[in-house]
Amino acid sequence: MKKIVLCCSDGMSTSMLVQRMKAAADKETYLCDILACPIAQIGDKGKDADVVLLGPQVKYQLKKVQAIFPDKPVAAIEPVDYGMMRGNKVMMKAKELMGE
Amino acid sequence: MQKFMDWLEEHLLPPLTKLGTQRHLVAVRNGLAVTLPAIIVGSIFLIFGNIPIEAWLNFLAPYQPMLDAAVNASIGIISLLAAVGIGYELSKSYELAPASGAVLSGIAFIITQLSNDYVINVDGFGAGGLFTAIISAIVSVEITRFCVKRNWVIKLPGGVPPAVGDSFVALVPTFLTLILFWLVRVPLNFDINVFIQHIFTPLVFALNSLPGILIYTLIVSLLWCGGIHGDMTLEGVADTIFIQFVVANSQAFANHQALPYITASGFSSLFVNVGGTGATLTLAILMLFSRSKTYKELGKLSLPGALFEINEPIIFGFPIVMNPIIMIPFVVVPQILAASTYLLMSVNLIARPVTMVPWTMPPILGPLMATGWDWRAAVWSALEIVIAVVIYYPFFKMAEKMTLKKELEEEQLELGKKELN
Repeated sequence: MKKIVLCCSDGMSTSMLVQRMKAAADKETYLCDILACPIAQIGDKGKDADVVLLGPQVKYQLKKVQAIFPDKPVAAIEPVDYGMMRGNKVMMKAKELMGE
Repeated sequence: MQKFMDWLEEHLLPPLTKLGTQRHLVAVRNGLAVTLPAIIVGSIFLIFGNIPIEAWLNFLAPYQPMLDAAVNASIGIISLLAAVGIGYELSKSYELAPASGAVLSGIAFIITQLSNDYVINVDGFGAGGLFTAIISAIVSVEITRFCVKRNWVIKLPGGVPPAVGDSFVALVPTFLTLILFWLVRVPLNFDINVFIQHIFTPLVFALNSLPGILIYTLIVSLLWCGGIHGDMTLEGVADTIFIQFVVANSQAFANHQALPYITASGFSSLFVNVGGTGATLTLAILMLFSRSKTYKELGKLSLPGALFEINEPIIFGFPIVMNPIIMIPFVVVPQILAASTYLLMSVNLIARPVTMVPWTMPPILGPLMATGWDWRAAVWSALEIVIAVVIYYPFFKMAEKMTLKKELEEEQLELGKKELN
């Protein structure tokens, strides 16, 4: 099963998005594990992730996170998708990054 | 306006984001986060022991020292906890053994808190030792890093369990750190704690002043306008001071003394950021009643979060980021709320924050608890929402007009497509 990890400053607003992504995944019966965490813990929580997504408010740390996981896809979520909590769009992005 | 936004993106944001990713400041921020549960739980003892109902206070009076004991053992040792937490986080970021780093910086900190008769003086374990805790952690971890880099460590053969190996690696750095701090504090009799506090006095003074807190608030707002988490970016520096203030206030409150600081932790998160930075709870409310479909949807989506001070949906969905119209109230409202709260607190019309309340506590309730049950703070918090609505309203209407126009155009485009088919 694929694992998607989202992070923002405290993992709070991303956890709202995670709920919506889970709903989107359920709709298309796509099995995956999605979780949110504070960016400070990404080193541990992102270890076994297949893709790591950053909230736009911590996008400035993208390079740093990419450096932690040089062989994983790491990207920032589009601001508008994040703001409107578009779970399906972010889900699509995650799948794309995982090459699906 | 465009010029200003370019300036923001090119000149203001890059150096500040660098500050937000600077290794030591990140370690300070994460290390301080470790102390928060202790401050918050200690605060619970403090506020429930001081609910302003006479019968309750009379009932509790004989037990007050017992309650204070819990406060002293949590809020009262915050600097020691910070030294350990920051030592841990900084070691982790250097990929050194974190537990050894935590212990070592704890030792270094304790040496700085020795009295002139060489007994541990716990006074500095509270608010007064926080800067010393940070310096102790940084110095001791840097010594460790130096030793490891030069290979000045005792290495055990490969088959030894890592935990045992780590403790041997830590021997030389511990020796050097202990010697250094001991030399300075004991034989040289130099009061490190007083010296460090003295150095940071200007910063402490500035952030407790009205201009200082307004500038801080302005920078946070501008960072968010650029799409960057402003509060988090400045936390490494600012939280050190705001936490120190709230701990000093807690300790004064427990001892029934006048509260020394206004801008203590909670001032910004609960009184200025009503429903998230920029007091955007207002926008969530205004959007609920909007004729625009987009706003109505976003309003419904963002209100539950906004009640708990989480406003990223509004920041990126409305959006506020790089939106010249709504940026104006987003910057102005916090300035007004910060200035008026500051003035109200300075003349004691509302109480100052005495306890650490999680920043996710909803408006009205958060200020009520943070001030140790001052009902006037709760009333002021409700008034703040009204003030914010009034200032946001004209700008919101402008933004709404544009969104409605866009929605109409899109609808017509859809209709046109259908007719063509």
